[in-house]
Amino acid sequence: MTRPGARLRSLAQRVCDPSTMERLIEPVIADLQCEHADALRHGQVWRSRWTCIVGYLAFWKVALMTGISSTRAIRDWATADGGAVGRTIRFSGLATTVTVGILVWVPLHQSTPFAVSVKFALLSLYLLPQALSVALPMGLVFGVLCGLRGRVLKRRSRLALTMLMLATSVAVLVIDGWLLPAGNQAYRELTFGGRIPRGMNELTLGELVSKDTYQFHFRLALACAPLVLGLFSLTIATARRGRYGAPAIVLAAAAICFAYYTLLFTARETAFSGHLPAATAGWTPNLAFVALTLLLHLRRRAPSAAAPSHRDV
Amino acid sequence: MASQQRIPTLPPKEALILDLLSRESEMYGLQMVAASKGRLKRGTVYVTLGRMEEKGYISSRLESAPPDEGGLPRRIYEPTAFGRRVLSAYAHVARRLTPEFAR
Repeated sequence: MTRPGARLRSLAQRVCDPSTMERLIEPVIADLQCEHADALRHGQVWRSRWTCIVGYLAFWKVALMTGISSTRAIRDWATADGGAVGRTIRFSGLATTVTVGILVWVPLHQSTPFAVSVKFALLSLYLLPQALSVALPMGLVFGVLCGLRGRVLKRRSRLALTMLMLATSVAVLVIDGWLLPAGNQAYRELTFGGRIPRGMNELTLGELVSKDTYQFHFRLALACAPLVLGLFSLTIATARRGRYGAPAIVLAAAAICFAYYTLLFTARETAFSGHLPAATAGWTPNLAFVALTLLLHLRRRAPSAAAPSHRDV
Repeated sequence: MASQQRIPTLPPKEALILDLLSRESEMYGLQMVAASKGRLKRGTVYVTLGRMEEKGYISSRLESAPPDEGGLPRRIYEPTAFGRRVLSAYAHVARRLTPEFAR
């Protein structure tokens, strides 16, 4: 039988440094285990349960206080490998904000004349999900390529960036699956001035399963775009360690995004003309970029094993 | 050097812990929580103890044998000579500054 607090301890071990474990976390868990065992020895089942609840609360309180005091550790983590993670987050944020601004402003400017009004503010808000759905993967590509320029990454930073990409993918899934349809419908109704029936773009992910297979797979595939494009960019950024100029990097990032979305819309046209199954068409761009990433990985490994290039030195 | 010249501070909770430890000579965290009659909480006592250890007021060690098989050993705390001196200086100053009727 697992002792109470054993799982919490192994969880804390992944996050906390040995000193914090020794001085703060383990004493709390030791107290919890001793009290629990004592209660069980005396046959006091309810007391043992109550001990667990109180002990777990104490653990989380200590963890929270430790977390607050360890902002320095987070700063150290963000500044590791020449500030790779911090720089990537900053560049991604900047690129995403600019892209969102463009993707909201252009359609809004074309449909509604600018006015300081509640309606204009609401229309901007309703356009946000669709702008974010495209801007987040693009921002990540720009962020990775610009943030990692000329940096050699350790495993920890690579893992942190992969986690960031995964979290962005989850965010895009929520946006594409639920926020975007709601935003679209609200935008249409506000522009029209009354209730109108929902189209395919206004259906949630759950509703699409039975109604439109392509749209369903298309949205799921789009949610994976941050992870797929991010890993591809990471491979490119770490494969070439030379310091490239900002224009070259911006051009490379733009080319990656352009290639992805061109492939996506080409696959959609192929699916609509009946030459490709809907599910395959939706996933084609992701599969292509995963294949390219693997290819780059294999190519990078092959020559370095035989004869290390001067770049690796 | 500057840190050595700094006057040691003793917040009320740390004073309470030092007071408890100087009476019992050594205790573990939960014992202190129980002996403090609600003034120390089990969620914060170890953070305070960690801070006091950093200041050099107390030292700690793991208990020699776990009370029952397989459990984590408890950490036992005892006051250092420096901690005792700080406590006695604190008590002396507190006696001097506290008005007679408040004692």
